[in-house]
Amino acid sequence: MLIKNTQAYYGIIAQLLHWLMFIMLSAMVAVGFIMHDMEGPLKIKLIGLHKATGICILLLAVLRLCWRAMNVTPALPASMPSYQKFGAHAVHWLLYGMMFFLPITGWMMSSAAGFPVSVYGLFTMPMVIAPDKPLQHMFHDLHEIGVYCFLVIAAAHILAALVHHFYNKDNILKRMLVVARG
Amino acid sequence: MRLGSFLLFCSLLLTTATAEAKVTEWIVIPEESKLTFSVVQNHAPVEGVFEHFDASIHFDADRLEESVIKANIDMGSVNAAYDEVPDNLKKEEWFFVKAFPTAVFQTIAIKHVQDNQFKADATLTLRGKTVPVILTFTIDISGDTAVAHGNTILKRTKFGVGQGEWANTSVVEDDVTVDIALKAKKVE
Repeated sequence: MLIKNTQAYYGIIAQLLHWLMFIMLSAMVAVGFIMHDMEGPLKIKLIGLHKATGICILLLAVLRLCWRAMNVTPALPASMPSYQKFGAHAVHWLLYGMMFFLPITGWMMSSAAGFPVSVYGLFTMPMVIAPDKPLQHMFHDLHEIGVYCFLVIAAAHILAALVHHFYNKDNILKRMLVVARG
Repeated sequence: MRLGSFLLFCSLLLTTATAEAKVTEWIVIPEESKLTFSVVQNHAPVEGVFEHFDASIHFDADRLEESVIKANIDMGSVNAAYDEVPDNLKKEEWFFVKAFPTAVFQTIAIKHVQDNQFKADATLTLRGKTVPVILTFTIDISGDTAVAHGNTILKRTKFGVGQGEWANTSVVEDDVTVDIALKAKKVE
């Protein structure tokens, strides 16, 4: 079983990190929208879980970047036109950007509102900003705008992968889904 | 004549006696005093403040049996970093400010612990419920100025703060830490 990446395939670690991130981000977006218009103690509880999971995503994003730096990144097919290659790289880096931007703006929003972020009761993130109403609103807007941008970028990423798999019939999706043998 | 002088003597004695029996009164300096509270929500402390309160303090370290501290807290003056916190706290399920605008704190007995540390058995009437509370505090007096720091831990459910689904203490905990920092001037 391939642990590390090769020129042709993503190894098992990269695949697990990728799909775990997909599941976590999907859950976060769903809970974010649902809890936003809720009321009552359940809302407070969901907000707490949302924040804790957000910090986990931030840590996972750091892990992913470290693993990427320690690995060869599988090359895009030679047959792919250069504008598509550019689009792919841009979308991938934008997605990495969102994996940092969303948790960080959330954490800043919480700090500016005077709510320290506890990660499931295990430890608490430092309050990097002192309570401040204008900053509360700014980070809240950045976080929400960020989510919409992320949804557009993620849609492009998913759509492209499906088009390459079903229309171009190349290896693009397989190399992130199939556990190749070393 | 003799009776008159005797009566005059008695009344003079009484007036001096009552004058000496007055325990030192202190006036709180509001701009240099702060009443804050903290409660754990989602495993992290959330802080708030009561911006208006007044206190009547009669305190003498040598006459603790006659010392009394009383405070009226304007519940509607609650504030926090996030607007939704005071907005919700003023509602019926929490402080119910409309029906219970003022909380009253009053000491029953003050004891000296050691050095500048004291402990008071007191009652707090909040949201219509009167509950015994213990206030531990320090007082440092220099000249005619007293600086006091006190704190107590209240159980919000004892006062009915957090009704219905909010009575559940797993999301918003029961223990509320209250801190008071006071600066007061002696009344001459």
